[in-house]
Formats: sequence, C-alpha cells, structure tokens
Amino acid sequence: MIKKKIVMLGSFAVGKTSLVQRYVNSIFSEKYLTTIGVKIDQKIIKVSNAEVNLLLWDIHGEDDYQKIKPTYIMGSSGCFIILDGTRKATLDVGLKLIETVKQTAPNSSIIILINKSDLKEEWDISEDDIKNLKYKGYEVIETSAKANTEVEYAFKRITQLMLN
Amino acid sequence: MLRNLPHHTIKYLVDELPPFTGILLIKTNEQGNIIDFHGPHKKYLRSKPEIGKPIHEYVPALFSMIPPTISPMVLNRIQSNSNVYTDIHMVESTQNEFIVFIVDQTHEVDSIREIIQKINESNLNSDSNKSADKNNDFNPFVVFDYLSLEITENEAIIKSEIPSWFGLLKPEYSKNDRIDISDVFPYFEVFNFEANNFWEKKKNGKIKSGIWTETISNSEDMYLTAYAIYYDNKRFILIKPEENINKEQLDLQLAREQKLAYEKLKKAEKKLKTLLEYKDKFVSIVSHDLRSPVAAVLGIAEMLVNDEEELLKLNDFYVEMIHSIKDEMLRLLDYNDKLYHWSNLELGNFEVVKRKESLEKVIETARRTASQKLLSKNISFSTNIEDDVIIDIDITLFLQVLNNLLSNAIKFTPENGSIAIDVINTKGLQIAIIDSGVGMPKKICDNIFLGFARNSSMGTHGEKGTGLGLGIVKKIVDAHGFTINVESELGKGSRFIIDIP
Repeated sequence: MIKKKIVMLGSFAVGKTSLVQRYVNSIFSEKYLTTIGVKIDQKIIKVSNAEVNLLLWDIHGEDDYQKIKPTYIMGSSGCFIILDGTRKATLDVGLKLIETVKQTAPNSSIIILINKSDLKEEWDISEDDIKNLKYKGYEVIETSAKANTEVEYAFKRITQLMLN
Repeated sequence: MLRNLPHHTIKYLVDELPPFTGILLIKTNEQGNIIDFHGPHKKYLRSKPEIGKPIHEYVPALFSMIPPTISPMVLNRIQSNSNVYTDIHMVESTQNEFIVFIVDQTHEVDSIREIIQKINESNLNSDSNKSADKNNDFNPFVVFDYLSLEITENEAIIKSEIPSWFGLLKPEYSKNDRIDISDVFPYFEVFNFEANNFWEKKKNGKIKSGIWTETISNSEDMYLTAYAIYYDNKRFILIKPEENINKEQLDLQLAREQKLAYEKLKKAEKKLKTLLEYKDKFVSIVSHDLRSPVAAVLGIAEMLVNDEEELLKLNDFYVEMIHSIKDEMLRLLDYNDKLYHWSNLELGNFEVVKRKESLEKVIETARRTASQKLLSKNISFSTNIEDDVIIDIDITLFLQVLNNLLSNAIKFTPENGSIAIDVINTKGLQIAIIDSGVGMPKKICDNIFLGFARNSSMGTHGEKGTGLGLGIVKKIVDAHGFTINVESELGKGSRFIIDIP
C-alpha cells in the first residue's frame, strides 16, 4: 500500500489536533489542549481506486514557546498549513511555515486550511486575504473541525495532489 | 566534601533523600569524570572509584547520563552491584559540577523481587542456573521503563526486557526480537535521520529526540522520548516515557491560554475603539448639522423678545413662553457646541498651537467672560498673582478651560460667595480656581473629569449643566501636557488645581 506523510502545521490553537481527530476518529472536543511534541495518526483512504495509508503528523503549534523542527517536515508528501480564521496573526505564522516547507520538502503539496468556519462572522482573515493567497497560487479550503465542514474533502484533496 | 556542597544541594539531600546514612555521593565534572566521592563505595561499587575516571566505569547505568537533561534527574531501582538496587539522583551542584547520590533501595524492591530476579536472570545471558546474587556483568542499558535497542547495519534488536508501557503498545514483541523501528514508531522517520548523522561521527555520547505521543489502550496518550547513543563502536536507541511532561504541558497550556485571552482582549478593545470612533463621528456630524436650525430658532426667539411692540399684543403667558423658548434654545446651543467640541476632542480632530501668553491677561479675559454671571449672583472675584507669568499655551483652548472652570465655580457658589484664582509659581506653576461653594462628595470628585457625568447636578440658582464641561477641560489640559486635580469639601467649597510643569 502507498504510504504518504502529511504534516499539520500552524500556529498554536488553530485546530490541528481537532482536524486530525475529526478526520481519524470522528470526534471533536471544545476543550483546548495544547499539543506537546508530535502525534502521528494513520488513516487509510481510497482515492481513484488506490488505497493510500496517510501518516498524519500532528505537530505542536509554532509560537515563542515551541519551534517546529524542520526535520519534522522532511519526507512529507503533503502539508496542511492551518490558520484560525478568527486570528489574523495565524496567517503570518502560516506564511512563514510555508517558506520552511518549501525549503525542507520542496515537492510537498501544500493546502491552506482556514479553520473555524463555524465562526465566520468573527473572522479576522478577510476575503481579500483569501483572494491574495489564491492569487499566490495556494489552494485554500475553509474548514470547521467542530461542524465537520470540508474536513473529509480537505484530506481527500491533498491525497489527490500527492498522488498526482 | 559535604561541607563544600552548595546550599541547594544540601537542601535536596535533606528534603528529597531518605533519612539514613549509607548514601554514596560522587561529585563529577560536566564530562562525568569523578572529582570527589564520599560514603560507602564498597556497598555500591565493585571497586574504589578513582579521581578523574568516568563515573560510568563504576556505575554503568550513568553512561551518557551526565550532564543530565534535567536537574534533578532520578533513575529508580538501578542494579548498581550484583545484589544492590539503588535510586540514583543526579543534581547539578554548580555550573559545571554534578553530585550523584546513590541510595540503597534493596529493601524497597523486595516486593518486586520476583521481577527483578527475572531481569537479572535475563541479563545473565539467559543462564537460568546462575542466580541474581552472583557477581556478573549486566547490560549497562537495562534501565527500568526504557526500551533498549541495539542498532546494527540492517536492523534493530530489542536488548532489554519489554517495559510495561511497550507491552501495552505492542504486545507482540519480546526481548531479542528484530524490530522495524520506523514501522512501530513512525516518529523515527525523523529521528533516524538525526541519529544516523550523530552515529556517523563515531564519537561516544548521546542525542535526545523531541517528544512524541503514542496512543495506548483506552485511547490514553503517552509521551515518549528517545536517546540515540554511540558507545564502544556500538549504536543504541533508548526509548522511555517522558515523566515530566505533565508539568511542562500545564505550563505551556497556561501560557498559551493567557496568550489567547490576551489576543481576545486586544481584539475586543480594537472593536470597542472602532465603535467609539463611530459614536464620536456620529455625534460630531449630528451636533454640527443641528447647530444651524437651533441657531435659527434662537434668532427668531431673540427677535420676538426684543420686539416690544409685538410683545405688548401678547398676554403674559405667551411672553413667558417666548422667553422660555429663547433660554432653552440658548442652553441647547451651548450643549450642542460642547457636544461638538467633545466629540472632536475624542476623535483627536484638534491641534494644540502653543504660543507664549501672559497668564494675567488670560485670567482677565476669562473674568470678563464670566462677569455677567458673577454679577447676577453677587459673587466676589479675586486673583492672587505675584508677578506676571508667561505660559506656553493654545490661547483659544486654554481660555475654554478657564471659562468652563469659572462657569462651574459660579454655578455651585451661592449668592454673595467668593471665587479666586491663585497662581503659585514655586517648583512648577500652579493655577488654582477656588470657590466658596457647596462642595462635592469624594465619589463625585473621583469621576468628575470623565465627561457625560450622570449626576451633573443643578447649580445653586437652578442652573443646568451638560455634564461635559469638566471632561472637555481634562482633555484640553492633557493635550497641553498639564495635569488637573480637584479637592473639595462638602459645604466649604472646591479647589481645581492645574499643574504646569
């Protein structure tokens, strides 16, 4: 079976763990529990008649307290850059992480997930910001781990990109 | 040796270690070489330690453990000699020195002797005829709770007994099994890379991995870390549960929760500021546009009041009504002007253009403006200013300050009272507006400069106020870089003091 490594990257409290838990275990918890280190989950997905074993690297959030080691990104075929739509600062962190991914795993497929779409009326990341990201050539998907919106699609889409 | 120990090390010895003698202390340098020792070495070690030699030659479990990754670091129930079990505490003594406390725990492990026996037998190359109390070599990397692997060219072999946590995670493995480490722990895709780089240097030592999480039974998560070790041309991996993670996680959690709360507060503050700006803009526009119709009505009322011929045709009731219209429109215009002024001050739509002015002249101008009101209540007015002082002010704005303060003083001073403006020029300049009025309770004094005073009371002659006057005063005073304070006593009067540095 094909194995593909996907890294979940983003600032702290953007919902990386929640997205993985929603996708792998179909669960969601309101409680914020900060991730220490790395947690690796696996899920088998069937895309275009091919079975793919996704190794989902849920990496701790990037901030002043914990820095992401570039070695975590090495060997990844796909990369989700996760932003919290309600916190504009997570966009800056995400853009910096994209640069790290481009240097460490240049062939990795990148998708930007703007999470917390259930709180869209509170979003700080504007439509212009999103247009700008798309203009730069990034694929952007608005997700909600809480409402289970576009989570399944996001993982399916990145698998398609990785297989191509 | 004991006398020379730093206070925190002695405190650790007293607080954390069992209260009996028989503890072996070994002092080492950063490289783990022995500097000094004290205590019953024969009990724990096979030979007398030599100064300068590496500690792991006597206590193999300490290979690559010094300097410890954290201080204090404790290795529990380590077999230090063939029949002695110990807890080994590593404490940083000074910046480059470490104290190793070796504490006898043989009695403590009696309850788990059966397991210890099994481990010993296993360590003695599976020779079941040999018993644990014989003096034999044992694997230096067999430490409780560690999964120890030896790495050869092509494979990893489990060298230790299976620790309980690994048994829960992967029950299918036993000692001496070959293991695809990246398959069991996908995290090793990364750490293998780091370890291989380290092993290629072929230098005795260790590197530590980051932390990763594995889910054991009941969806319970366990934090693990690994060490890649190079020793005597051999490569080893040690994997163990991370015990101190809870505190670390708690600290990080708290720090991030605080950061999130701070971000939320900042966001709310920004939103609030925008809303306040909208409010001020709205007030500014409305008050500006209201001025013309209010002034027009006031003009008509004044025209009627001054037209004696027409007034004679009206009865007293209508005459009084026309006077009321004029008075109320005057008040409305005053309020509207203040509102306009206030909102522009809030929006920052003003500029302080300072010029040198004679303070005496400025006070005199303010007095002239207030003279009609002073006369109507027969209030005496005096100024106490020794020499004229030149001050750097925006004359239009500062006059508004004095006008508002004087108007306020007149409002709350009964007939035949007194108002004075004292100028004190000592360290800095102080302008005090003092009245013999009704005074205010402390509660009002505390909030008097906030503007939109809810309890703006009527004056002694029923004068009505806007509640904005003193708020405007404060804003103008602040914009000049001056300060204003109030002192007041009920029934005796008030004193507003402007400090000019």
